[in-house]
Amino acid sequence: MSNFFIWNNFVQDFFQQWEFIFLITTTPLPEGYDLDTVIDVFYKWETTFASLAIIFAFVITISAVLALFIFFLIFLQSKLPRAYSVAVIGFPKSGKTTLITTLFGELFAKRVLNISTILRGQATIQRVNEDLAKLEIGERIGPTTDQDLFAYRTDIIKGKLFKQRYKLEIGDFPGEDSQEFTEQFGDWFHETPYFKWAMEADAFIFIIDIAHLLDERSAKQYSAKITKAIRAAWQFLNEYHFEGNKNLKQKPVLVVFTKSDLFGITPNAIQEDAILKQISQLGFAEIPEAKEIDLERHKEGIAYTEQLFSNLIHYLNEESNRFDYIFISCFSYYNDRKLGVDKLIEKILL
Amino acid sequence: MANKTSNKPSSVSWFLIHVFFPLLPFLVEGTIRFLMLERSFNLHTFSSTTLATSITLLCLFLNQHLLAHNISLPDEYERSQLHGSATWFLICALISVILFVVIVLLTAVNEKHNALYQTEMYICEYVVFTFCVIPIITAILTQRSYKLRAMI
Repeated sequence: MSNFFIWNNFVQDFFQQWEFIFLITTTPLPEGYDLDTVIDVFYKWETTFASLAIIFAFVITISAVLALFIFFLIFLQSKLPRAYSVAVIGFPKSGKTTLITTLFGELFAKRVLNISTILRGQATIQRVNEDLAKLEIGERIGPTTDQDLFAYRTDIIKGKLFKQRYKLEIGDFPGEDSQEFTEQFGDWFHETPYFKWAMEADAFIFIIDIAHLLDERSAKQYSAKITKAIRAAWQFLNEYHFEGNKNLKQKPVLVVFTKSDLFGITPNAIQEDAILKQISQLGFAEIPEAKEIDLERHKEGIAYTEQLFSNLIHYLNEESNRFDYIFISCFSYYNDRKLGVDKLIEKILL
Repeated sequence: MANKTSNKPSSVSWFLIHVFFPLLPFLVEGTIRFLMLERSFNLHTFSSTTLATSITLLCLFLNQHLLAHNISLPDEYERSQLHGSATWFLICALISVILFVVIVLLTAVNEKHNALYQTEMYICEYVVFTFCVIPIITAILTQRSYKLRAMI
């Protein structure tokens, strides 16, 4: 009721003002009309005009409020974007940091359509650019230690017309942490930053180092060890998740085979023992030269790896609705693009 | 092994504690009045003063939770963002308190001087009912942005 009275007073005041303006501006009056007649006519129109004006003002007000509300939402979403964290799990020297750095390099190069990146914070900007510079000049990124525990933070903006903003966080942990996660899981581990991070992640990337598969004599043992570790890690994740299996099933899970360019160098050969030993124990001794992938040899390598990890692939395929596996090389190219990196970005972010 | 029987922090619990619980007095009061007073909605169904108090509580809960929130991998930038959000909720809490005081004051004056500032009071009530949307939406976005969890 109070609302109606406020409106009614407002409308009456409004038309009294109009009447005054009308009186002082309309001179002289047409023949046969005196001022009283004009005012009578004006008052007859007033009711109709008032209704229209009220409807118009109502529509304008509602539109303005809605527009303000939408702008406010957009502003808030840009200030408080949704968090999206990615856990990268892999054994020591499997190429986790190199993969993350390469991923950023590809995002900066805008090779993935409709995704733009804004790095957040001085630490991330410094770390990413330093590591990218190292890779560009062929210098090795050193292994991640406990002191280097770090989350790469960046805002991802998807789409052009209807933009969606996400706060992407990629945790970089020492490989030893991943190993403990998969092999020595215990109650004490629940309190470690790595555990908390990995369990709350929105996407999981399991890293498998191809270098260990090149030696046919130890490939089977290595694949069995990795299969057991990843399967155990997945079961721990399943157990931890409060919401149960359903929620975890919807999260992207990727098995990434790194250093896939090695298929081109020594495809499952038993020669060059010294090189293989060095690669499998220490990772890359030096950054390999960037070159085009030999597709035939790469296909052979993929078939060989799929066969070795068929159990793991089948298991994760059954467990997750968004499982996939990708062969990646951070140094070699296929169709002028770093092998598998754009696919990884699409699987994780799109 | 992770113990499945023990409670784990979840976002649902967080919403219950930090958003639903502070708004509970306002909702309960509104529901009772709605049921008792001819089942109609008007300015007297829901109380703006209760809402202002509820919003103050909500903002203070969020402010404290954000200040105590532990970032898994600490970062100066993230920490400053967190403090910025906490300050925003503190400002919202102050505005809510001010609105609460103004409405209570106007109600008292109106009771004493026969509805002298009735229109002004209605305007303040409209402001409270409109303003309450801001902290609630910000709270939801903040939860998603910092992955805030709580345990019941």
